[in-house]
Amino acid sequence: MLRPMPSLCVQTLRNGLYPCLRRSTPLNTARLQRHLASTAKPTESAPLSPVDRIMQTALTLVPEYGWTRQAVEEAVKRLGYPPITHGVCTNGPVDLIDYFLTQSRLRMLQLLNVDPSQAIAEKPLQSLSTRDKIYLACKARLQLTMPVVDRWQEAAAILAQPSNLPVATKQLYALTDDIMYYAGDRSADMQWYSKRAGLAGIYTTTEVYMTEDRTPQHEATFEFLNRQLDDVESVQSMLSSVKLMSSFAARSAFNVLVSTI
Amino acid sequence: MITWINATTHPPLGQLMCASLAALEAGKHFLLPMRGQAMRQYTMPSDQDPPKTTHFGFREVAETEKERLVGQVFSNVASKYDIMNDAMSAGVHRLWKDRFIRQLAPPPGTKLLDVAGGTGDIAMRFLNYCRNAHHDHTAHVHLVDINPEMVNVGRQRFHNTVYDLKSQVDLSVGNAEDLADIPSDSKDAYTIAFGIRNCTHVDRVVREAYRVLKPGGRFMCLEFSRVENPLIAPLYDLYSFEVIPAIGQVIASDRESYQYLVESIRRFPSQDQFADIIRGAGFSVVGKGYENLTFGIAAIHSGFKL
Amino acid sequence: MLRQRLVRGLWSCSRVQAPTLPGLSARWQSTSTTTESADSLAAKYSKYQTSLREIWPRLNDRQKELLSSMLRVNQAGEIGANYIYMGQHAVFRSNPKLGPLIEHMWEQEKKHLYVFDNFIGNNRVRPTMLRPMWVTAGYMLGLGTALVGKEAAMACTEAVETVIGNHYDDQLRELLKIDHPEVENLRQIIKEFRDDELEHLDTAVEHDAHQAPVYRGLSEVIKQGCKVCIEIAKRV
Repeated sequence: MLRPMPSLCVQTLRNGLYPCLRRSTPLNTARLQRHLASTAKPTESAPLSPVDRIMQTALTLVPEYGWTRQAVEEAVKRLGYPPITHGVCTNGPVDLIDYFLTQSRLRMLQLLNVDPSQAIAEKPLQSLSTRDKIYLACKARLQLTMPVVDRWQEAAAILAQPSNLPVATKQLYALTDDIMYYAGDRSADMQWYSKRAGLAGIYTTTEVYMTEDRTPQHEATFEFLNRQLDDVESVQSMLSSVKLMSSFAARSAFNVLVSTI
Repeated sequence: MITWINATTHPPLGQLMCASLAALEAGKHFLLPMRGQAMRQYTMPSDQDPPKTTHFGFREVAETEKERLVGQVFSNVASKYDIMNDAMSAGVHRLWKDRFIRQLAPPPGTKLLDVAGGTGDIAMRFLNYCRNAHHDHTAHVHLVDINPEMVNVGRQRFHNTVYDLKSQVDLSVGNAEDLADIPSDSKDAYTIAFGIRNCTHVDRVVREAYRVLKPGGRFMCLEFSRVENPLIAPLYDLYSFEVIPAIGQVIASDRESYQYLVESIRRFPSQDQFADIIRGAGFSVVGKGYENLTFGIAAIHSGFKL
Repeated sequence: MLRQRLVRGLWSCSRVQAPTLPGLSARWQSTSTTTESADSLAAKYSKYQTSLREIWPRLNDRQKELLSSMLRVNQAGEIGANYIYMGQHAVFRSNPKLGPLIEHMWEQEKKHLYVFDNFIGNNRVRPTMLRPMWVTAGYMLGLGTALVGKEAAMACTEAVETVIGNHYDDQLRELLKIDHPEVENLRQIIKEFRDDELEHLDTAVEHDAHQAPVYRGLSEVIKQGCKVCIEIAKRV
């Protein structure tokens, strides 16, 4: 089984997450699962725009056709439009992935019972600890990737192309920002960045892990996610002691310097 | 880009050059008059008063007078139009048109209506794309232009080509605002490249496009647009108001016509305004509904009849 | 003479800052320069509690970006101002006249920063990315001018507060274009802060800012520097 060794870089980035990751109580997986199940309302029957209908049909065809123009063309055909309509997915594969990521993020917010149209929420989520909220959000989001998990490595490869970097960055930023905000993060300093970067590291590693995970219901993936979030704690405590030591050394050096002048 | 151009240059180079030059000429005729009219309608809603006036460049003229003036502009510049197009844009307009067709990415069997198609620049690229991408000879293009001379040039361009022999091309004279000969819900795609400015009522043109397209059909328009980039805009202004009339003076010995050309470009609705017009006609647009080319000097607008 | 002053300055700063200076690296991580608890601060500044919850969904993208960049640049400015006063305070702390004066101004800047930090956190505005840079630059500027002397420190205060005051004025005009009670609240806050900054400006002039060595050059350099910083802070 794949066990990616988190790089030091990722760990360092991750350290900013620590303050919100202290686990209040032992993680109650069953409770989280119930929470997800209870809030997973069936999608409201709000009328979809034709473009959305084409794109969503195309997404259901991704397991068969991959992230390709063919998937869109097939969707267009099945919905009874002329082949030229495939142009709604202007840039082909990357637009399809972009659409998938946006939809999945909004769906995740729906699962978490927050209203995505309300940019600023008063009371996000329930009375879970921050760490559990992050876990829950990541889990909800990862579950949405499950239907296309066999094709996800292709998508990751497409997103990794330099020309698609803006899309990849935009989506990862939107996702981590949503998760951190609704998990209760209100920081306005460098922690804002370190927390999001740390979460981005954890989320993408876990997603890569998931593409190789063959356990039923991807249990191993969620266990991996758990470990990753736990790691943050130990890394942080180590780093804070390093910081204390180095600041002590810096102060001593400063005093020595001043006394020699 | 280069490989694609090569792939499409199956006809002898000379023939292609002639054809594209002719096409450019045609396109120019259309471009100029349309622009002024669009401007009148969208930027000056107040001039609905009895003696109807419209913009001719930055001047205000009577609607009937404008047609004559624009026609004069075209006859002034027609003979040098092709050379001027390449001289003014350094050949970039060819890249724009290539991009335009690649965005359309017509699948096999597409029925295209190319309005203000002039001498067939877009139509030729479309058919080349279908042949090279899909080995497709079932695609069909109907070229419509308001100017019979243009249509004749187009007819000559396609004469004896493989497309002509396989009856993939139809040409006819018609007004973009009233395509009475084209049945409703009959076309897969509608293109208009550097032509919509020539129309008096841009919204009528777009509504007519909506009518003739099949459900799911695509409207695409290539047109000069606005440069918003604060670093590029002053350079572009300098270039269009100082350099282009000068080039016109030197190559075509006609400064005024080119002065009019650049002025009329400034009067056409901005990207967002035009996207609103397209939406207003009933089209679904994806995202903003347009893509800027070369900092917005031109823009590709797109809408779907969904 | 200069060496003596330098030594004295460094000494005083090292003595004064001994408990807190090492925290400097940690401090740019923390929300505020104060040591008070979050709850007591929240209670103390409760009258500045405001939000953009209602107006936000109704703004267009351009307005959102404008508002975000305004708040971001204000945050950056207040971080800089805080650390300028911290640097000056490190040198003049034991000065019976200047110590309390700078403390008072610093106290107000702490309030400003607290309010903007809070506002940014609660309204989903991306905070400034260059916080460490504003901290370092502010502290160096404050410490540097203070080491040159009282007049230079005051000239620095005058220059900075002039730019910030004008900048707030620009924002107040810009905000008038959005008509909503929430934005009006924000305007009132910015107005009050602007008046604070202008008060600092007057204080600095009263305390011989104009007698600083190469006053004109110093003031110009600092002003231009501040303007560049504002432009950078608007974007990142």
